[in-house]
Amino acid sequence: MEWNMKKSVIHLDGGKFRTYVKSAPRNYSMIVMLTALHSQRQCSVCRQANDEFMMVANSWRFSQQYSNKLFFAMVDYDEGPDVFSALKINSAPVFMHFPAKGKPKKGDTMDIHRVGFAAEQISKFIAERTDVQVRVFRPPNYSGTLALFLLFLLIGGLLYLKRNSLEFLYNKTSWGIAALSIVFAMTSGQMWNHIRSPPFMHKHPNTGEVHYIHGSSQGQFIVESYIVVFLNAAVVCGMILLNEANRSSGDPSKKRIMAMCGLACVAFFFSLLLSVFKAKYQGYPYSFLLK
Amino acid sequence: MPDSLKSVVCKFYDEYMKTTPKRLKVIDAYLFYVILTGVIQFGYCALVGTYPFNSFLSGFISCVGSFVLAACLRVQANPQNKSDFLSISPERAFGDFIFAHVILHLVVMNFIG
Amino acid sequence: MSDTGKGDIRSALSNPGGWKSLIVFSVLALAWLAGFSSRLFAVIRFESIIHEFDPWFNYRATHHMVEHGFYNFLNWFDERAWYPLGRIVGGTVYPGLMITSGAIHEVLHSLNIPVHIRDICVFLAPVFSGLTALSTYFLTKELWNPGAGLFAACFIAIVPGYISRSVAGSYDNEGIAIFALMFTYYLWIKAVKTGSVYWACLTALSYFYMVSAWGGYVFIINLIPLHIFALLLMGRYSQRIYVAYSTFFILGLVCSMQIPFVGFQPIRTSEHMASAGVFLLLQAYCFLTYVQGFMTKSEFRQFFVFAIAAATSVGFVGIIGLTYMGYIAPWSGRFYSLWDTGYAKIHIPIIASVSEHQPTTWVSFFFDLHILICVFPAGLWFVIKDINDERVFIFLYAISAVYFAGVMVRLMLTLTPVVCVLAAIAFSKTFDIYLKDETKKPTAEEIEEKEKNDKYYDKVGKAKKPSSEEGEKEEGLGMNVKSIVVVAILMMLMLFAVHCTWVTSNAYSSPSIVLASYGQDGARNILDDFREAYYWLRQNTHEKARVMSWWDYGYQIAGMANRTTLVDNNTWNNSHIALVGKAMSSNESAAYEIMRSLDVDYVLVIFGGVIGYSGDDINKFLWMVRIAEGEHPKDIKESDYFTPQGEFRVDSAGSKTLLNCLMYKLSYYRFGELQLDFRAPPGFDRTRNVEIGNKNFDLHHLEEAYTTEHWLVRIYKVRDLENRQRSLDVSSKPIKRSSSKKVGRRKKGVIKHKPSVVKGKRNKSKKQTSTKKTK
Repeated sequence: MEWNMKKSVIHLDGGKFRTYVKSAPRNYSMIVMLTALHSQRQCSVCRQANDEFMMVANSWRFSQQYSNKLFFAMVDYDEGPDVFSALKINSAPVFMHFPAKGKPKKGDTMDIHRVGFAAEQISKFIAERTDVQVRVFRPPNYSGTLALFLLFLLIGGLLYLKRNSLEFLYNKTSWGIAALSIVFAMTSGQMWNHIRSPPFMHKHPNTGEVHYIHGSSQGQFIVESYIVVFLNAAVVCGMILLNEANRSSGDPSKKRIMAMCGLACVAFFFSLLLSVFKAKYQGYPYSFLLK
Repeated sequence: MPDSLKSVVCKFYDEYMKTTPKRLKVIDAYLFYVILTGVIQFGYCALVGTYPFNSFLSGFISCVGSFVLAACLRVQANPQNKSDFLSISPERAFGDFIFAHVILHLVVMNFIG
Repeated sequence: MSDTGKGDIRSALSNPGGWKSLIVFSVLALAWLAGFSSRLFAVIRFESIIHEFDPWFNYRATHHMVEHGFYNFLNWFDERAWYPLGRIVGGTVYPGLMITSGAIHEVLHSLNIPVHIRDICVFLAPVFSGLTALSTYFLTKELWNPGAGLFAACFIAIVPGYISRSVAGSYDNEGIAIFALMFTYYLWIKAVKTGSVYWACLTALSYFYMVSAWGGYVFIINLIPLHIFALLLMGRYSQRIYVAYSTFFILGLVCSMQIPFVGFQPIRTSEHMASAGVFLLLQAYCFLTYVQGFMTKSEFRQFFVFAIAAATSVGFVGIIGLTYMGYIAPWSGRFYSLWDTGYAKIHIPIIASVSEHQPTTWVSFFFDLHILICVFPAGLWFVIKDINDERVFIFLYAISAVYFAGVMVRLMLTLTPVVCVLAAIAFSKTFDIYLKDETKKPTAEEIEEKEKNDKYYDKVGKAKKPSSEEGEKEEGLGMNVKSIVVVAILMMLMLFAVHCTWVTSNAYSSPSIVLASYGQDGARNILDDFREAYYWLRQNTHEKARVMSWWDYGYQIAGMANRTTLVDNNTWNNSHIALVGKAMSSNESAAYEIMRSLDVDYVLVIFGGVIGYSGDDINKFLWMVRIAEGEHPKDIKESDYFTPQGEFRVDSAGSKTLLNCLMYKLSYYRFGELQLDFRAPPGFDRTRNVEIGNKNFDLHHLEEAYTTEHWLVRIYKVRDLENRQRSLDVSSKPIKRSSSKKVGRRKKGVIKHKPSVVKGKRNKSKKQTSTKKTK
């Protein structure tokens, strides 16, 4: 109990585990996180889960209903490997609830694969198993506001420095490039990537074949959206070349070469895009130059 | 600062009296009257309360609308601004003004409840 | 006489202005026709019927308006939906669609053309697509030139992104809303260009039509102020934009508040505050510009700085203060989730569950827009290079639309027009260069080449004409190069047209109320189960019957079966939906209590296990659980419905709660006896591809009323309470003991309450009966 005054989460090793968690009778229940935080274990998931767990434990500690009915503890693999083997756990992190009476049941292990390890889910799990409500107080994430503030500061500073020669704002090419980059980012599905966090690419485990393009039309990889950005940009460059070809005041052959280049760009990259599309949409019957 | 501001405002007033043609002064007087009506309405609403809200809103928007349309008429009828409004003669501007007012008042009458 | 006649004809024939208008007219007419006919796939393949879910409500509302009159429609309180709450239809619907159809119906009937309202509803969207093409032509003509306008009209007539929401039978708000959007934007551009109050008034009236049609009017009322703000920032202020915006704002504001659904929102919610802010800013700016004319630069500077600083700070602080204090509502959940994309998933699961609200993959962009999405950035580039007031608007429209379309699939619809316009500009500019030949040909020929139409493939022949002309000069690109370029681009455009037709035919033309499956030999098998079930309901249940089903089917039940429903697609009351979800997820007895409290007579479930239909209620079941858990966390826990390994299974390994819940039982009642295929065991679910776990059970509180031919829709009748109520405490008490005692005493020949002489026994019996009672 007095440990909890100092730290919200109690570190246990094998011996302490047996004393405090396994022994009976107890009048408190324990929520234990079994993890492997040592850097050589390279478990990044454990670190994120640890942050969320600490958040729940801190919320509990400073909440109104703090009592000695519920304690938070953690066992690190390097400090207590026997605990892991006793509970037959060989992956990390694992959240377990040890009730005051009786043995932990199947449902007392939190199913991270289904619900994840966000602090809200941990507290929901605790509420389900112990009827103790822990209101999670997430420290307000100021990073978004800070980033926005820094951005404004930067823009303000730039404008102030250049207040005498605001010519760069009138440079149409830079505006054009900025606008086009936004358009390319959006139309290649970057928002989908941002929200759904797909893998970078897919390496087939058995054959070792690397797939850059997701097989179905329901998903996409990050590499895939970059490829699409590149193809779109190439087509647009081709169109612009086609138009610029007429305006340049060079000799006719140069103009002709520009025009043909532009056309080749447009046709080739568009057909490439079409074939990528066909790869995802089996049953699509049309193609342009390439299969 | 307030002194220079005051002198600026006085100078502005003098210039205004001298240079604006009569037509525009009439419109300006009308604008001032509309603003006054709007202020009175808003003050009444603040004192008495907003029930019925749609009536207050329709009256207030009618004021603002009249102000805006008169300001547009003034802008379009001002011979200094002719370069901006190539296709609109002052008569056409007045015709548009009437058309817009018809629409505004029809809607306001529906809204007033 | 004949000479002058011939001369007249020849001069008339070679009059370029005349040719030009003829070509414009014919191309636009063809575009309208192409747009109309490519939306008719569903009507030709099936029949003229309203599709999907939402259009059924719109149709029912229109029908009500035609029957009962306009004012009764505006004041309609629908007690046959959301039983027992009812729904104020007049105040919660955008009436533009119904009014349009009703008006067309009136006009046609007054001309004695008897068209049924259903046919008007089905064909409304294709007709309005032609009008959209027209307004897009006018818009692009204002922005660039008539040639680009023709391109844009043809593109938007056939582009799949717009067709998806406006096929014949899809009687939904977007069908007319996109027309209203394009028309409003055209009128706005005209107003900005001429600076006349007349055009601004027309813009306001068109905006009023848009507000009555679709909730997406928020886009207009934020984009136009953004345009004005951008113009102010760029230093492009002129009196014209002052006139245009002020008139539009004030008339638009008062008109938009006439719609009952919108009400006072334009001055209360944050979504509309931007327009008010820009209005005030513009007034201030105009006044200061006016004052500037009277003063010298230095005097003006102090005045200006002071005034602008004061005004902006007051305005900004005022708005933030009012929002904070609650006078102005903050951004509503629907629109806030566009900015903070993670918001809906946590807080509003109903919004997160709709498949249209998911973010967009690049495949959807390409599928809906094909070559246009690749070429439109080039159009954007050209617009930036050649900027003026109107083109700032289209630039802003493009950037904002592309962002919103990336966040939500449904908003691809607002991106489609601007992509068409910009791609048309790009193509027009390219063709301008490559079709122009230096011979003395009239310009009419160039415009003739620019027409684009998917039904007429003789483009190649026409395009070759100018290239075969002699007299090329060597200062430009050679004729060969030009013709190659022209031919290549024309081929790509033809590919676009073919793609659009393919997509429309395959992806967007299913009525979804009638399913069709195609056999090996191409024979078509039609599954009309939905309508079968709804008509059964209509004919075999009493008028006031109440039907409980999941909210997806509410509108269809109300429209086709004409019965009272509990929850429908409007989803305005989350607790009511959660109650229905709780009933579906609980076991039969608990669900029976909820159904009795809601006076439910019939329950309807969709079951796809026999034909392999994957949109059935078992597949949606987890959403029912989640929504129910949101309101009743103590009774429903989502983890109960999963196996210990965390899987959702309906076979014998499934969780017990799932196998005994109402939805499971109603879906799989008698399914265990059904053997579809001699290779598979009886009770094999074709959608989940497993054999179900709980077969041969009986239903206590419900009885099966109707199951359709392919078991797709199953209707159950809720049984009344039992005749004899067994009270719980009697059944749990050991009655046997007391009765045996009584029997024992009777055997001895003692009447129960007769005062018996045997003292001890009477006392004992009295004591025993009394102790039993106190138990």
